[in-house]
Amino acid sequence: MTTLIANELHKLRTIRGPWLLLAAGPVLVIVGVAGEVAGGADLTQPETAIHAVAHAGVVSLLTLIFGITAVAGEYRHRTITDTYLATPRRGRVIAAKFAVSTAVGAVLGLLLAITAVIATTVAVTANGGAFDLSNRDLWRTLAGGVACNAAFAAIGVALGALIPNLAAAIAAALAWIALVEGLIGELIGDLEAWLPFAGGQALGRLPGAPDISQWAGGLLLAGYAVVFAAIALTTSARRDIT
Amino acid sequence: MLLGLVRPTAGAALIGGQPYRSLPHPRRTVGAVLETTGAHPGRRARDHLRILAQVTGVPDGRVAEVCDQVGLAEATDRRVGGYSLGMRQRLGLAGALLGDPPVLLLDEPANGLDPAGMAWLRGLLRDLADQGRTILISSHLLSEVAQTVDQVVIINQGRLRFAGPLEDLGDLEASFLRLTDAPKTIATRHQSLKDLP
Repeated sequence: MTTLIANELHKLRTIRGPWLLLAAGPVLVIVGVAGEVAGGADLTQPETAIHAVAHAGVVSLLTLIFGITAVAGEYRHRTITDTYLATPRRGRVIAAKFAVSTAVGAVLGLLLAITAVIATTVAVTANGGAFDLSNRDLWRTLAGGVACNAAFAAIGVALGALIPNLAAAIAAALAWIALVEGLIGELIGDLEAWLPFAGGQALGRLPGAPDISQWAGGLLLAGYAVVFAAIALTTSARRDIT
Repeated sequence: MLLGLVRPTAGAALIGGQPYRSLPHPRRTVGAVLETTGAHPGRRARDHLRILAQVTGVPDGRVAEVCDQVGLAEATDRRVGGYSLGMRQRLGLAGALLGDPPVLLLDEPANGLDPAGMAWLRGLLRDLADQGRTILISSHLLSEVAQTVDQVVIINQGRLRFAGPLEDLGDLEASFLRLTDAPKTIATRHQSLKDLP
């Protein structure tokens, strides 16, 4: 398993895509923070700073795509054949991808959280506001953002294993977030809070989050990740590589 | 099916008496270049082979050795996206040879090679076979493989039509067409075309 994990890292290191995602994250966070502060929000309110740092979690869309690509990208470029020839027990490959992607998601999340704090401090103080680092809600939001990045990376791996067509998997994920979950939410009323993206919003304490606690959101998202992972493991093991 | 990538509806395929998935060191036992084998276009060839060396369980030093063996030594720094079809074929072969396996499975190995490359491949495969390896080539280029192989297996419509030494078959192409009833199929198609208004 150690070799497989090292191998997955080796794969990520030697292509440009993961590096681009790593670079895009902080840029998006800075843009998001700047927009929040420049948007005429009351800089004396602690909520403004909290909304600004919440962008660390918003950007977890990137780790979702990162996770999807870790699996579906191998199908796209047909490296999956060599991967499975080296490790015919495919579950081990998928498990290694889960471990590595979740860890990378967490590390990126941490990087984004640091970026968000620095950017918010600079933006708020430069505009004459006060940034209160001792606010507990601020730290909870940041921690939620880091967890969001890790969880969505894991869900991405599961999605990529379920839908090995890279473009289809990414399209499905984006359509779910932008459209499908909202439509289903209207259909099921109060149960809306228990859909996956809603769980992510609660965990990251994002604007528009449903009325469930941060812990509930986190558990919900972890639950979805585990269920998707279980389905992904069984389907990948059975799917023919042709 | 031999390599466990596709599930057979019935039966089993064994390599040295074992199913592929039970082999303790699969890539050191069987090297395979298949139609479905690929490399990431943005990755350098050397990195691609190092990644394979890691899971094959051989040191990085093998990468330079196999690149020499397939004639890619000058191109290992380049990204695979810039490779020609022939170079990709060589890269696939390099990956298969990393583990120095006693068995090689090659699907259309001459695909994309220029005439010099075909001659080179023939020599390489002959050398590898003379070292005592088993090489299974699947190909539709009958006149090409007739110059290289010792044993022939002809499968058509999922049934075994022939298995034995090439000498027993005489002319490979003629025998192939006879054993697979190909001329009849063409004649039938011709007939049905004539039936069209």
